[in-house]
Amino acid sequence: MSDFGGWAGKILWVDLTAGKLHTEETWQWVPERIGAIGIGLALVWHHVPPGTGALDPANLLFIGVGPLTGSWAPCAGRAVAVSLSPAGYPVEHVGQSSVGGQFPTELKWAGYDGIVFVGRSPTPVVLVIRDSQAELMDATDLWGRDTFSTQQLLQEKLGDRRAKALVIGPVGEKQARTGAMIHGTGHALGQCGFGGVAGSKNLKGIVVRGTGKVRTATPLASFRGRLDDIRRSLAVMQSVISADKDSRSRWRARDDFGWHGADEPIPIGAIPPDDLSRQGLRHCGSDFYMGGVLRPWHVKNSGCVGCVMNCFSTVRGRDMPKGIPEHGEMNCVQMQTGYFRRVRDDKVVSNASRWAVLAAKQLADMTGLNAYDFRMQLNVLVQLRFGNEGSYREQLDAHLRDELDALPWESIDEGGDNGLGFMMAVFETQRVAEPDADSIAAWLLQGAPRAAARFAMLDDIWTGAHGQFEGFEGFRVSYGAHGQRAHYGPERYGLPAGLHWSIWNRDPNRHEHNGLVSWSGLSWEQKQRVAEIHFGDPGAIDDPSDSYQLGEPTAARIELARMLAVRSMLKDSLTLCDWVFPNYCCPDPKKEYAGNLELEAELYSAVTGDEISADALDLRAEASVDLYRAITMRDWNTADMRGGPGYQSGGRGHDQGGDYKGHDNLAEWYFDTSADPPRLNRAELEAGKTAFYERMGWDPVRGGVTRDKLTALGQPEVADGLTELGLLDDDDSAR
Amino acid sequence: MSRHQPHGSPCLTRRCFVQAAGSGFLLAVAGVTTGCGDQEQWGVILSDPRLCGACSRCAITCAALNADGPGVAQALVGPEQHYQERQFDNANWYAATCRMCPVIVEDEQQVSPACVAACPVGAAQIAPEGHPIFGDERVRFIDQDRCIGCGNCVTACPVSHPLLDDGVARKCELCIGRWGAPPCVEACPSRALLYFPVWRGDIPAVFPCQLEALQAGLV
Repeated sequence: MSDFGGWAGKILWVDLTAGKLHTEETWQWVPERIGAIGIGLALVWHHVPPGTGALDPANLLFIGVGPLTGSWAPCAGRAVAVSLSPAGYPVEHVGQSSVGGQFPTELKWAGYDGIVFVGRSPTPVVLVIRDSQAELMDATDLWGRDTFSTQQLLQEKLGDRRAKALVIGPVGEKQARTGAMIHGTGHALGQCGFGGVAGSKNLKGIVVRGTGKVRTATPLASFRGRLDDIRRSLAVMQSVISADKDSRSRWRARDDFGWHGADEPIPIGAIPPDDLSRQGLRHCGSDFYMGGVLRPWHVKNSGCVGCVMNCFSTVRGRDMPKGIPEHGEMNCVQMQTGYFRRVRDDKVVSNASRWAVLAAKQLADMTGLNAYDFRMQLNVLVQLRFGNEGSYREQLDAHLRDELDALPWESIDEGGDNGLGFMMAVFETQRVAEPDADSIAAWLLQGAPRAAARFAMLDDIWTGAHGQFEGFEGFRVSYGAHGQRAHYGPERYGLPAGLHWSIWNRDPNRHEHNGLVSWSGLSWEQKQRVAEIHFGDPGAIDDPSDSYQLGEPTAARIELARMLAVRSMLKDSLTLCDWVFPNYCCPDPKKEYAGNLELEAELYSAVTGDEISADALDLRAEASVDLYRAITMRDWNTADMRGGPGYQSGGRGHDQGGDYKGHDNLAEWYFDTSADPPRLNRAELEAGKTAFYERMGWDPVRGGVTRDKLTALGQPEVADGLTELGLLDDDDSAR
Repeated sequence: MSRHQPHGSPCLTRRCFVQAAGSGFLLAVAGVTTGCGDQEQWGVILSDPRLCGACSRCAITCAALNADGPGVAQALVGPEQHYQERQFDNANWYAATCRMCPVIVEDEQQVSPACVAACPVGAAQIAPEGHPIFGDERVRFIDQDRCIGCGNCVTACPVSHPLLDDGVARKCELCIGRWGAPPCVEACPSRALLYFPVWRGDIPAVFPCQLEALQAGLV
């Protein structure tokens, strides 16, 4: 037991092979590892043997919450999963994914800081948690069901509609690398293919009912005034301050703003950032992201438990095809799931209808297919059909070509139904696919990179040859790195983004960086002043309109890159929402719009009673960054993480017999020297890596974490482990 | 059937109640909106399902202040209270509140507020005007010293609002005595909750959803 507030104190272990459950105390890990991802990484390090495949029973799936989850702290309603990722490419390295909604807080209120799944159940099961009572329940009758009906049935089985579930659909059951775990009608544990991991363990899902509470060291009664101050500083998601209708902010409440999908349209109007009672009304993603495609169906906003912003769009479709629910919650990526625009001879001949957009989103969530991955699937399909002047299609084996041609391509062409039929067909073929078959649908389930490798397209996708991924216009989808499609990458967000796309094992998803650089609503000069206040140099951030510029690895750029890594780990440990934290900007002109980067530590200290400075808390999070690095070195079986010219991360993955080095890499098309205007300068990225490695205390040449650094932040056992594996040359750490 | 207004209580008819409940704007109290003239009213928290984003900040705040720790099962307001009516989507969620039901007497028997009518020991009460804690809000409250924890109020309540906690029932008392004003309302980022202090005569000009207020002919 502990006097700390915040943590529940227990971690639930579920041995699916033996069908046995037990609990262990959280205190062996915290406060040092903070929570959620910090604990998950430690568990993977200690309990997953080197060489384990992501879909092997020996892999471990951890789903955890942090000390702030379910407390009165704002925007702390998320859970984080850690496991080896089957979506990792070319190596199934460690990954993380988070999910919000109502499930994470329910888990905390049930009395758990996390759940560890190991082994593989002989038959499908669901983990049922009612406060301290946890058991495995047979799920044979649920296997094959979509995620929405599964959750409904679980609530009915428990006789409690307050129960919250996180489940997989048919895609996860097929152990697909694109499999997500879904909660509610739009919250997804999406990235990294953890739905496939759950499927490999015969785990249909988790349903939990928690009636307990979170003890906080500081009662809310004595923190209310300060909490309001913090909410004012947060202002709105990503620190947006402007109500200007011309602002690029995605939180641009304005005079003509309203929700048009309600029975009677609801006028929202302009909302000043200091009006705390209306910040949750500001955002309208279905307006902002989709250029109004979904605007007529936007019913209202919603948020995860504890949110003060409400970034989700609740949409109600009309006249949807049979079997597709009209109501759904969604955010940016989900709205883009089925979006396309087809252009021929400079004329738009087909444009995604709102029916196609909502159908694709709903089918992604119902089948449990990660919407983010679907975008890259879709472009592989289109490229396969039309790309390289038809040669990709022509060289396909006949049975694959027939399958490709059988898709309703007319749906996305002139005179078609603006994509509805096509989206439904692509999901249906994957829903019913035999996972081990040599079929297009089965390969798509393996994720775009592996599918592209099978279709002899991967090298072109890697290098940018033949204009791949330009079959659809409107959204350009490109390969980023590590099996993930580009998203807020270095082409617009400069060196910090280039470094993170190189070193992170998945889409690094640094929303806070984009919030500062793009979405804050400030003028460029104001943003630079904020950067100067936080990092000592206005040049820490780069103008995203000035594309394909990395620049010199200045101290400020590297400090920003380090901050992004550390605070990403921190928000996934506490757990907080990265659309809100860190608080780079605030609406206060007296502070020159600079936010408060100590809010995480302040909230952590108040909730847990573990008084700590922001710098000290950052170091705890940095230890997790180092551990993430160490596990990745183990997964890649290399001390040479740098990558760069001469390394090829395309081709076949190690699960297909490949052998790779050079983790820290970007797709080659980023460096295409023949492009006009010029693309990224490879030498600048390499110089940036060196500076970043040095700042992190890693090997400046090969980029691996060192014994000195691991020891300095209290992880000598990790250094010992790497040494045993031959991945840490202790002599190198002295250089 | 006969109806009459007990001394000191607001007049409400069942017709008023049905009109308000069916308006789509799930009022926490009947009779506020229309049809009852300008008679005396009482304090109440209104919720608008069309604005509620199910973030549960109201519930977290309520439980943190009144039940010694955030955990929505202890909250007296919030989406949790609404699950029995919920469809499987967030569009129908709203932060259910105590409706501070009107006084309705049928056949000389008080039938509403249901909690007051169902309580066998007189613990569920309507605070009189000038109450030392609740002021003039006419709060429907439960006297914890009298409550025997029988649960009749929970069963009788049309929205199953009261909670049984440590052998006694608790219900929303608007936080008037403890926090001065309802903190759940202050915590809502979507103005889906609004507190109406007691008023006489004129209807307040500000409503959480102006459109709805317009439809109801209130502003």
